[in-house]
Amino acid sequence: MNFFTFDLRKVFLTIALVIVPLMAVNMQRNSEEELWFTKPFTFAGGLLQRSFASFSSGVRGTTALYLDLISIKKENLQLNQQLAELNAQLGAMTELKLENERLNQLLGFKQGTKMELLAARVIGRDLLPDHNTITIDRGSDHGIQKNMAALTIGGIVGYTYRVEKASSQIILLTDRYAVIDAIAQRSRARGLVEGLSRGDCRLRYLKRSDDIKVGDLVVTSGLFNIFPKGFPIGTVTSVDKSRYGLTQEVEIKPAIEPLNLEELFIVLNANNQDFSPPPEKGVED
Amino acid sequence: MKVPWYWLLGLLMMVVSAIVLTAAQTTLWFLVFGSFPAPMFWLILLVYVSVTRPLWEATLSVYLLCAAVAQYTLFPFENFLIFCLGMMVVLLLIRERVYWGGATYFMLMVAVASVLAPVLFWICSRWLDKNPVFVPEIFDWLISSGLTVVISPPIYRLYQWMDRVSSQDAGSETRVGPR
Repeated sequence: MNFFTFDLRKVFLTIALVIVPLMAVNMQRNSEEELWFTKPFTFAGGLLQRSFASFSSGVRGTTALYLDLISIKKENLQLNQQLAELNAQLGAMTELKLENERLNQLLGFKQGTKMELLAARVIGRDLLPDHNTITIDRGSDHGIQKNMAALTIGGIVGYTYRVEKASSQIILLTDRYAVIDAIAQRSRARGLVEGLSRGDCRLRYLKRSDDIKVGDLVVTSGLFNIFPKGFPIGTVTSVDKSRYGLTQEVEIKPAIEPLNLEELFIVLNANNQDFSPPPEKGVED
Repeated sequence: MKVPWYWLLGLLMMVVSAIVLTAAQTTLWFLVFGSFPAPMFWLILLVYVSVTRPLWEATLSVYLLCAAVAQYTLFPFENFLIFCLGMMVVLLLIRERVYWGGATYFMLMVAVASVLAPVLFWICSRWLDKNPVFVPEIFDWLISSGLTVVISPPIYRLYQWMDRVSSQDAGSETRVGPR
């Protein structure tokens, strides 16, 4: 066998299997340092890993979303119910808050007056649309009698006309059967307030010469101590002085909306309470 | 003389139902819906007795109805009675001309009565009141009338049931209708 004749395949194999690995093991190299020829594989591997991870995550996410839909729907229903309950509670709380404010105002008014007042709640209204009456939850058992004044902080409401043991009916000042003795606060012109059954009233039997203008406040006269003196009834909205008549027709907008009331006071005893403003100094002098 | 207990029971049930329904109209409706106009239950009952009872019985029923219902309004009893009797007479006249019975006919008569009521009320007020209605509360009457017609079929069923209980033959052409 010739020394120089050698099998090249065996040589390569020897190099690849013995020499290169031995050299590689014995080379001084930082093990953490990446080899140049592995970099493309690392890059490709990383890319694939990221793709797989992203695909897997997408699939899991979508599957989870679909799987969660049922529970989401249930949860949504529950949340909607909770929201409805909370809304109802909020409505009730708001209603209570408003009622509390109203009752506080009424209490303040009651404490600040010398009148003997009885608080009552409105529980009904008239059978026929053309009559303005309301029913309250207080009656003769609570000391109410016929023709007692009904009022609220803002103004006169009307007066009692039918009293039962535990309830009473009140004829509102806007009813056409209602009559209240009144005066104009500015000029002291005297007349009778009658209802018109359209949410308005009129001041009648004023003398033609009486001084009354649009915007004047009409107040109670305090006659017979039924109503307190000087309590607001309404404001003059129109004055009709016919050419030849002896009187003038005056329309009044009530100080309050009597049909929208929920609570009011019955005046058990007005004690001659006077709400008229104190006279101005110049006038007094 | 044999006492007509069932007939008296029918009358009693009618009066009780009138009080209950009118209380519901004036108080329950007000507490739930506020100032929104209520259906006129008393009018439905008035129509019922007018179209299902002979003249004398209808008249007696209207008197009882007025006595039961007048406490809920400021309109004086005598004025309310004239108003209701006027309504009854008009409805009886219509019944004498046109009658076929049943819920549809009843609804139609309630509709007629609902339109007629504000007109007759206005006439009665102009005629009898010292301080009469000048312009009726048309909007309130209209809403009330609409609601009254809508709510009349169940009330009709209720009164039919009451008639069956008291052995009345409600709506039979042998008792009422054109002769």
